[in-house]
Amino acid sequence: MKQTIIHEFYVGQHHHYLADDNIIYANTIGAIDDEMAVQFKEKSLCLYAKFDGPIRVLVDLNKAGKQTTLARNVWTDLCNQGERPVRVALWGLHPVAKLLASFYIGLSGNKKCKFFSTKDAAMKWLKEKI
Amino acid sequence: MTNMLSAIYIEGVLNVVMEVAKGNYDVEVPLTGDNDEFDALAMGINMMIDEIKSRKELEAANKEMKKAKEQAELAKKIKEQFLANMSHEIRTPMNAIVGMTDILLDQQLNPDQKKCIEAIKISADNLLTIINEVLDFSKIEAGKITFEKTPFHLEETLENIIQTLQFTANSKNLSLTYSISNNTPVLLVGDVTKLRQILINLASNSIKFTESGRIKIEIFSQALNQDDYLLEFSISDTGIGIPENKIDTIFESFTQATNDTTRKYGGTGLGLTIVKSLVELQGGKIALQSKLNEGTTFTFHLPFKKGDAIHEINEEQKTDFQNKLKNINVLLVEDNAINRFLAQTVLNKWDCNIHFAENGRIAVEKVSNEIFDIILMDIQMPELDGYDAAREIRKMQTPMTSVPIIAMTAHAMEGEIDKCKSAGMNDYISKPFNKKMLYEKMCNMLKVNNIKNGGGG
Repeated sequence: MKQTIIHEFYVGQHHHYLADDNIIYANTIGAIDDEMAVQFKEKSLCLYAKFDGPIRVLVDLNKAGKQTTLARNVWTDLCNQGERPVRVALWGLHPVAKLLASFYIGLSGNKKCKFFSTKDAAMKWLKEKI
Repeated sequence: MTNMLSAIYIEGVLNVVMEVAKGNYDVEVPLTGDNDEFDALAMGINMMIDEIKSRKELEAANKEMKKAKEQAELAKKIKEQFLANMSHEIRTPMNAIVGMTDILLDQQLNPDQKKCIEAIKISADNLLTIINEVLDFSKIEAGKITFEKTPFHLEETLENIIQTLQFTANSKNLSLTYSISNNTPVLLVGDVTKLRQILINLASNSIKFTESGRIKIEIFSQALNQDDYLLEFSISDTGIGIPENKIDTIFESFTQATNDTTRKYGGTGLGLTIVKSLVELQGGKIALQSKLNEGTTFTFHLPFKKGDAIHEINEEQKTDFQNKLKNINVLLVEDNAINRFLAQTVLNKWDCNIHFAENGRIAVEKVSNEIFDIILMDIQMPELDGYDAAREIRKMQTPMTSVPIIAMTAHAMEGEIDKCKSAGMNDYISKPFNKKMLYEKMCNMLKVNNIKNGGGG
């Protein structure tokens, strides 16, 4: 099914967008350093402000690279923006994706974040009624 | 990956781990780009190295902060020491000026001489007020001000305040009156010294800024329950008033209504800040109403407990001290010749037998050979200071080991009383000393220790 992008932003090659299904898609490609992490936070918060209601995020880690401590903390911060972020699904097919997801989930310390090895499983969980 | 490649890879990982062990965190395990378990392991190690590096940086920052905090604390201590020294250095000559002036005023003087001496007295008192304001402000800033809870007669306190300010009010032809509402308890429990300080500060401000008319202190009270009362103090004048745009800032430090105020009336600009702090630190509130060229009313509320019969101040205790010090043997330990002369003049009036010691060492020698009823001990002295001299006396194996010792010092900083008491002294009076206060303290000491006229010297 074709998606319509409502709002989007780029930081380097990383592409984040809000689609018409009200899910934010975060495609991370390559490493994220401290400077990029700060931009991510600012732009993500702007994106959050552009719509109402619960925030659900799908993070594609298949092409993700090394992320600094600050970058990982930014992810955690974005998950903990009050009540709105309800679910963050991280997915990836290979061991590196699983490792990165472990770092995020370990840091966020809540049940809002979950790792999946397929996109379908991740989407199913995201779309579940809470 | 073949076994050989695996071995090379593991050796690479090991090298990185060893570098990290040596404290080098600028190393990374290279990635193969296969996104396999080896890459996951490498990425995991790299991210953990980053984590360690961040924590090390945080530790270093914390260490720096701790160092900066220690430096700030040291600077604060040095500042306090400086203030203590300044206080001592200023108060020592002030003690002589105020004391000598008092002595001169008691003597037969011609009108011109009297006028001159009174001018010196007013100037010295003003200077002392400024010094005390600066010291009080420092104490408040450092959070070191403490409040006492002692019983006192409100009316007597007011009488005393009026008496203190009457001379200045009369010199400007101003009427200075007070009234206390009927439902106010005669005896209250609270910090009478601070209350006096607040009222004197506000009333003397009123006198200062009023050219004609009156200054009125009014007290109303509200019973909160059987024991607790909320008192409202209102100090109103018919003075120059405060411009409306300055009312909000008048309680700020170093602030006066206008620049012209400082030039015309003087003052540190700390008085009202101190008053506000003294009121608020006791759980009270202060406010003001003012109209330019019509007058100003300061109103503050303070909670007090009602004093009971146990708290009743024994009238007999308060009066008839005059003969109680006659012929007692006083050892006056003081290195400053002027202060010695001053204290001698005061003690002579009470018919005491005065013995001198120029420093703590001489005092200890005298105490081990002679008998005294009481010791008045200066603190900062050459050879042996007052603290150490008191400690040595308390260690003696003679009856003189329990001789009452009153510290007489120009150190006026908070903590001085505790310091004197922990050195074994019984009481403390700050210089310039108040004659009445010294008299009362000496009498109380002698009564408590019951060794009046204990022997010759």
